[in-house]
Amino acid sequence: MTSLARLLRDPWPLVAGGVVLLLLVFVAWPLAELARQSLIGQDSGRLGLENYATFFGSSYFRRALANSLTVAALGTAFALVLAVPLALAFARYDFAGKRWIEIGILMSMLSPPFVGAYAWILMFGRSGLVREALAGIGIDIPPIYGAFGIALASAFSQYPVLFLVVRGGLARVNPALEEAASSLGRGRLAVIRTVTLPLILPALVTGTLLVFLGIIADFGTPSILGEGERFPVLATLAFSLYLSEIGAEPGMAATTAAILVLISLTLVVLARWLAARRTVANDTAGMRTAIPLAGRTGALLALGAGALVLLANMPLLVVVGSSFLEVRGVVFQPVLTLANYINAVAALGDALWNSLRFAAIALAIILVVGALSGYLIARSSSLLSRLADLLIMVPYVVPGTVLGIGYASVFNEPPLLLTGTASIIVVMYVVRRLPYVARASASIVYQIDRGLEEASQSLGVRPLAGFRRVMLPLMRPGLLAGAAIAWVEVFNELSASIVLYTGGTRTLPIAAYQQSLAGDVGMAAAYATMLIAITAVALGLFTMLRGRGGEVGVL
Amino acid sequence: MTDAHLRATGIGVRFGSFAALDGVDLSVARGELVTLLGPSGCGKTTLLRVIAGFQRQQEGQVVVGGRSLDGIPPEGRNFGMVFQSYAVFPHLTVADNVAYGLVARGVRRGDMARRVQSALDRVQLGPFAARYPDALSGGQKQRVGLARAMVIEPDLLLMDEPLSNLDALLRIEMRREIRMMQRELGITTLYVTHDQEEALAISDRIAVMRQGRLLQVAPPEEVFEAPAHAFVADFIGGCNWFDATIKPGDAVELAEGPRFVLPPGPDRSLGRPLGPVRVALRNEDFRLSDPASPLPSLAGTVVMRAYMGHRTRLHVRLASGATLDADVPGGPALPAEGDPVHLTFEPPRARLFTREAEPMDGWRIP
Repeated sequence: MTSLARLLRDPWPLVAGGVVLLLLVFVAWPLAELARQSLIGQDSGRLGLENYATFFGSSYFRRALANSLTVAALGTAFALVLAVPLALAFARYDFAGKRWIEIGILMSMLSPPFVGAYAWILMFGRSGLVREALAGIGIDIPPIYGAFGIALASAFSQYPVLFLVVRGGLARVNPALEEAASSLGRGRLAVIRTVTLPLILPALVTGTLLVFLGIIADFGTPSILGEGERFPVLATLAFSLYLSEIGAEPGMAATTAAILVLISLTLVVLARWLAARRTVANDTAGMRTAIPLAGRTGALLALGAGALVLLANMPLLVVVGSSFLEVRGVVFQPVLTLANYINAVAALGDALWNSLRFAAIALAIILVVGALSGYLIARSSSLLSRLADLLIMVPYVVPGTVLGIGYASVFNEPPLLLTGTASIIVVMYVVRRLPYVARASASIVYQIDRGLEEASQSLGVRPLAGFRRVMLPLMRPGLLAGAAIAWVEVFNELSASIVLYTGGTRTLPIAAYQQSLAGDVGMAAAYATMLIAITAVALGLFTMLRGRGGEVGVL
Repeated sequence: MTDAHLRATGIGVRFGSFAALDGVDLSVARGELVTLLGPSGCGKTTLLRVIAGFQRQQEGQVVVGGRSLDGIPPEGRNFGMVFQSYAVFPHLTVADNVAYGLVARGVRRGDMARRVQSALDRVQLGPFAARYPDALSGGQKQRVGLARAMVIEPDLLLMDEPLSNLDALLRIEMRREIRMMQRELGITTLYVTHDQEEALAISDRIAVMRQGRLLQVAPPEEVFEAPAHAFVADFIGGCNWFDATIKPGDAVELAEGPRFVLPPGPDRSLGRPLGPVRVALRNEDFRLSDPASPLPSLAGTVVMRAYMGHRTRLHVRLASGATLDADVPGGPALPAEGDPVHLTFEPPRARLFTREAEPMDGWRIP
């Protein structure tokens, strides 16, 4: 058989090559270019660590670094306090209203973090509703801007991830182990401390890492709650260094970006080491049945969890609610109106259409490439597929702002002149969210018996046709779940598109962000509500698609 | 074998420095059922996968029905395959599972429905055609796998530990069904198992493997009664091993004391090379006796007694500290734990192997 015929029969090496090429061009190249720029002196133009010296020599830059670390650490701590008890309660107990509370938790994932930040300003900002009301009865609280506010807003938008990861970890703990500990005379809390927590440590580490990376990479929240230059963090600093109207400093922007990536990378390595060191062989988990809690304990638990989740969803409710209120100056009036929407739609331009179009195209590409590369990661151990596995995960540790700056500096000249086009936004969406779908698809493929594909092949079906007829139908539910998350992330993407957009490629999150930062409070609320509503509708659609199982049979 | 349907010659597969298969030669006649038997990691599944086309060999060749399989991908081989994990497509109904291979062969619709139904009837799953696999038991799933592999009228049926995931009673029932169906349809079959009892019950011939090599390929009776290797004796049926020495006059002296003279065998002449040998005796070769028995006898103490229904297993510690298992017919007069016992055996029951585990020829029971 010639090699061409073999490729036609089994084109997986070709697919792997394509994925690797895509990732080399759109992940490795921009990042390599940023690294190169960070090593070329902003003033001298010489190769060396001059920019890094400038960075650490400047108290302003050092402050941005300290702010980033403070906010991320504080926000992660808040998220842990919120998520871990909730996860424990959900994994171990059944109580009234559990389903509703769970929906409430997941709702916090629906909107981009900066919308939450904006809502906190509406409540606790300089002229915030709650703050004014409290001042009216003689209680003065400081406005929410700065480290504490950013950490709090970030925690409320990031804690669902931690909740999901930790609950997943808890579900895999063999219940017999906890029963054994109880039978040996340990009390409930002692069992959690001595058995449960050590066993879920890897999940806890992973979840904590995800939250920390999410917060430190976030651009919108610190930009809105940090009031721009007054409370700089690395992500906003890199952005303003790159795009400053008074003399941009691309070399320093690259350096800031590089430091941000280095921090993330260090944490990933540290977390992997920690998780690997503490991972114990999990014996096969038995069926875990949650203990029903009735009476006072159950009611208390439901009440506590419900209150926490309601608090976390306050921003959402405030934004949606205030979008229907009349605005006078910068103050909402207790009068219902659609004026905000009328103004918002008038100023919308192409933003909504762009968002829908870019996100839909990106999602289609993510699904195809994610399904294929997930399959490759799980099934092939060739050099190409291992390289694809490595490259695919890189954007996972690269903040959006950094990737945006990298794209802007690489794709602004031939051979790949993409700046200002819709393509650059779509490609950026794809690259940023591919890790999630690829990982999700790989983890499903790992669970599918290899024998199925061999059975298909032994029955006379070629590998690629077998993939379509056997693997794809089995991967579909997982792919759709991955796609749902990818849609949320892509449709609400801000931190990279804010660097890359031009007049013609403005998206809805950008419009919402701009109005939140320095615009009409009513229109900002209206845009944010539109983001939330469209995301929710899309999620509903995905859920319906998933539910409609059943295969068209051949007989 | 002249009428070989499957002929594998000189098959070698290496994973790094580990030789998974090393110069394996195996022929299977048309309509024959041959099992590959061995402990896990012996290479039996690798050999099956080489023949199926899922594993490429570095050396050797496989020929089926006069056609070399070199360069033919699995989907071009027309072999039915049955998997330990069943590998029944969970997203297809039972009927669609069975039809899967027929669709690939472009079988016409009406024809297909008829063939699927008759294949399902054959495995007693006719009424389950419209069900999804998750509504089936393990045994039923494997029947689907069987019907799916049979319906394409394969040139060769490959079964990879098909019964290992089933419980004991169902295993026995299914292996009888598989054997009857295989005979009836005359399908040449290669069957992988690690269960020696299953191999003995189902096979025309057994190929015993260890460490990537074939040790013996022979009918079940021969593998059991005349093992070609100490490992074969041990793996099939189990043995108690004794160090011994051959003395002049074909006398064998066990390190434990008793000596006996070898009876003349069909192709054995007296005057074997003197020196150390290993003697194998199966559990059921021992009899309880009194010390005065003229047969060679071993004295020891019963350490544990395990009642096994039609037999009782005595775990006996000999004076030398070595232990053996003796399976004796049950009865009220059996010695209790802690009692001294004398065990005898008929000299022809003893199998002799060299220190290199080669059998010393001629030692077979008529």
